[in-house]
Amino acid sequence: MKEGNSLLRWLTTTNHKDIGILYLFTSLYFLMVGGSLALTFRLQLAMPNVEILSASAFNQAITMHGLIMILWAISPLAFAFANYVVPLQIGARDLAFPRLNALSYWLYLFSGLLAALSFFIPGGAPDVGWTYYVPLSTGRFSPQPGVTLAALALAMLVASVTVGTINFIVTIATMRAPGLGWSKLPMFTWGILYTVLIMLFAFGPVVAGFFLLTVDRVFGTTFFLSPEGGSILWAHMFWFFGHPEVYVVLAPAIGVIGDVLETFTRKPLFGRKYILIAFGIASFISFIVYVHHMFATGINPIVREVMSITTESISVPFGVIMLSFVFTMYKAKINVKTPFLFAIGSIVLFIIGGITGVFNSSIALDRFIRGTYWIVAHFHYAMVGATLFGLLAAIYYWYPKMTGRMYNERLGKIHFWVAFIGFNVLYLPMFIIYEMPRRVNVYFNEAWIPMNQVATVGAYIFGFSFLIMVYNLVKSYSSGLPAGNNPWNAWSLEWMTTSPPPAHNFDFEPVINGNQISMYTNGGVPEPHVEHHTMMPMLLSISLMTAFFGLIIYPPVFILGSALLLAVLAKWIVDDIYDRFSIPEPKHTSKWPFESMNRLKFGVWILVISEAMLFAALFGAYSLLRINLVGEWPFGPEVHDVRLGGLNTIILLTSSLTVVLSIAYAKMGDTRKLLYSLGATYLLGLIFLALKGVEWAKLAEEGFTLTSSLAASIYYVMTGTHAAHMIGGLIALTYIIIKALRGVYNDRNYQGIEAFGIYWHFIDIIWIFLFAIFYLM
Amino acid sequence: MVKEPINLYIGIWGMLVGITILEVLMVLVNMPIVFLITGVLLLAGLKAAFVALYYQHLKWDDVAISWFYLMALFFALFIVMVWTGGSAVCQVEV
Repeated sequence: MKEGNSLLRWLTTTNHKDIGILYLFTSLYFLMVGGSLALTFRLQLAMPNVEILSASAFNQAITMHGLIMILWAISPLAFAFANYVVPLQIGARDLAFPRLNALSYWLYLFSGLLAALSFFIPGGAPDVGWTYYVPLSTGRFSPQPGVTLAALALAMLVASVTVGTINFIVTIATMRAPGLGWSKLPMFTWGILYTVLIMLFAFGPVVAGFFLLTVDRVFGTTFFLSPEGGSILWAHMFWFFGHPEVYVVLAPAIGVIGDVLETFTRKPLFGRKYILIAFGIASFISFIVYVHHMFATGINPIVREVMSITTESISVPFGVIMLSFVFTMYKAKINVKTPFLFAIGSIVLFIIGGITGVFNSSIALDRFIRGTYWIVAHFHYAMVGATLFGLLAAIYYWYPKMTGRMYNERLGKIHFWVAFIGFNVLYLPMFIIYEMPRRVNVYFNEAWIPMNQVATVGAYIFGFSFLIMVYNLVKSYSSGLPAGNNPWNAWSLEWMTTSPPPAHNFDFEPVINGNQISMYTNGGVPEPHVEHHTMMPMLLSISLMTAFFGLIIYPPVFILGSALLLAVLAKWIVDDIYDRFSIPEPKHTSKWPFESMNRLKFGVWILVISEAMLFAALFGAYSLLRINLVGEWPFGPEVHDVRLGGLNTIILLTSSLTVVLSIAYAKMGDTRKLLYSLGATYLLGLIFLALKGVEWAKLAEEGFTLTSSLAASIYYVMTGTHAAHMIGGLIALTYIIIKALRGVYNDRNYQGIEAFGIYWHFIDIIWIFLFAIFYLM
Repeated sequence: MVKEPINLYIGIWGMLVGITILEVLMVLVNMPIVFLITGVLLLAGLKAAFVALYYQHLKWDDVAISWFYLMALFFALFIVMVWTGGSAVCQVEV
């Protein structure tokens, strides 16, 4: 960390603790924005038929409230602590890729600002609901540019999430202190690990969905306007992400509760092993329940029934977790401090949210309560109550570590009670008016007025409670009592260093031996710490935001943003070529079961998995469209040139061979053959793209264009996405070739080519299936 | 000098090219559509498995990475089955 609090430090930092603090302030800012929108529309709903907000403004407010709260406030608030605490808890100096961590943050910030910009453009912010249901959100029914702008903001956010996912998985899996096995990891680190694993598999499909929607809106295809795709296709693409997202938001809070309970009950968690197993099972099941969001559609009854059972079954692992938490407190000498109160509050609210959610697993009941205030109350108990209260526990729990000061305990407890009462006054009445439809700005049933008014009062009490917290934390920062290193007498590693910790976290390397933590003093010589500062992550994010904004609003700005983006990328690559940001691989870490993985290779593997999920959703969309158009779908060989496709496939397969040979030659120290192999790969990649271009031109001439039919649309989208990945691969290959020409690669240093190879072969695998489905059948 | 399995890589490439030619021939000989679709998908899966195992080095790498891959494969199959299963019956119902 640069000393002091200069603006430059915060703009250029790559230190995980700085990034954590940036996430904290930014997420609290978005929490305030999303909360203010909620207070505004609650005011509107306090009376049955008033116009504080017009119908359109009301719809914009609820849409942006949902998007901001879920994607830019609560989940990133968890990642504020993930950034700050996880490396400390595992005894690491930083995350695996500090510069990419900074990129995650800046992409997150500017994606949020891009979404918020939609309020200020003609037509205003999206007013289609946070679920972006189609056909409402297609260009035909919602032509305003704000809908597309927010979709692009979401794409930017997913880029941030993907980079963050890679970083946390690699860090937790390969950078744990010696002796820190999986079973000894603190609960919060486990919570973040489960969170990023869910994110890894969940976000690809929603990116694919928003990509198709953007293609519909910008280029006039009809994926979501046609009856063959339409709302069913969107619902699949959205809810495959949307339901696991609930657990993305929830899992960090469960981790916090685990750590807080262990600390304040002075006992290990009851059934810790079973909690972790249940946590894993729940994370997995979260992917196979999502169709309960589609019970009211006409999909296969068997699918509905299976998902009804899986939805009910997910309450079992959560039951195990909650009971274990309760048993942990049994006969414990509890130290009732503010973090503990918030943890208990989170458990209570989660139980209410969980039980009221079980009703949704019933297909019959779901038809009755779908789209009502019952649902609004249920998911706010689960996502706001359980999650936000858990994260508020985190704020109070780690505040002393982050600032070196204690907060005011009395004010903390007052905050808890005001928030807890306000929250329940806000959401309990919604269960009572369970028949009231959600997303309406006016209502005419007078029986709903009292409960709406109570809810509005509750909203303002809940909102006010945050002012108590802000006052407490701001005042305590300057006048709170010194916290010391370990004010809670907790056991995990973050408490074994100073408050706040130094830039390098630990002067010496922590080593875990059984239940003992010791420091490897290395003869009294501290381990060297390398830290970099760079503006590139921020500039890259600004340029991307500018390009997206220009793309939708004003094309010259798009050109400006794109030019800046290219310049920043070029600078980034040059920095890498000259090793300006190299950080040595940690030497003594627990890496099981990834012993042979270096950071770069593992990171690329995780990237490949996330890309695989993107393509999985596109293959899913293709299958759905084709099966709905059976009889009308053109037979591949009648449209596409099978021989040309086969030739191109062989060219790409050959490029895979040359990549794998280049790794072999690097290992053998044969630089000349290495360069030939890399050059051949480049050439084969270019030939593949050129032939693809020729093929596209020929097809377009024959009338097979992007908008000519759904079969054509999905062909161009999927092969185009594949081509874009190839272009990305060729850019990476350019960088590899430059490094090879500089003589960087040899029998000890070939990891860069190996990592590139993993990505290139993945592109090859995708093409193998594209060739099969489009050319051969 | 490190011994690298270059001949194995070239052998795998030969097999991949051979399977691709076989796929094209299956189309050119006008095979019945059910056999064609089944055959083409199986052969594509086989080719992908060869690339993953030998070129991406899954055969020699930590087995845990294969689990990540298999999980993605599971979700891909789950997506295709649920999305198409639901829609096919929907069309019949309509």
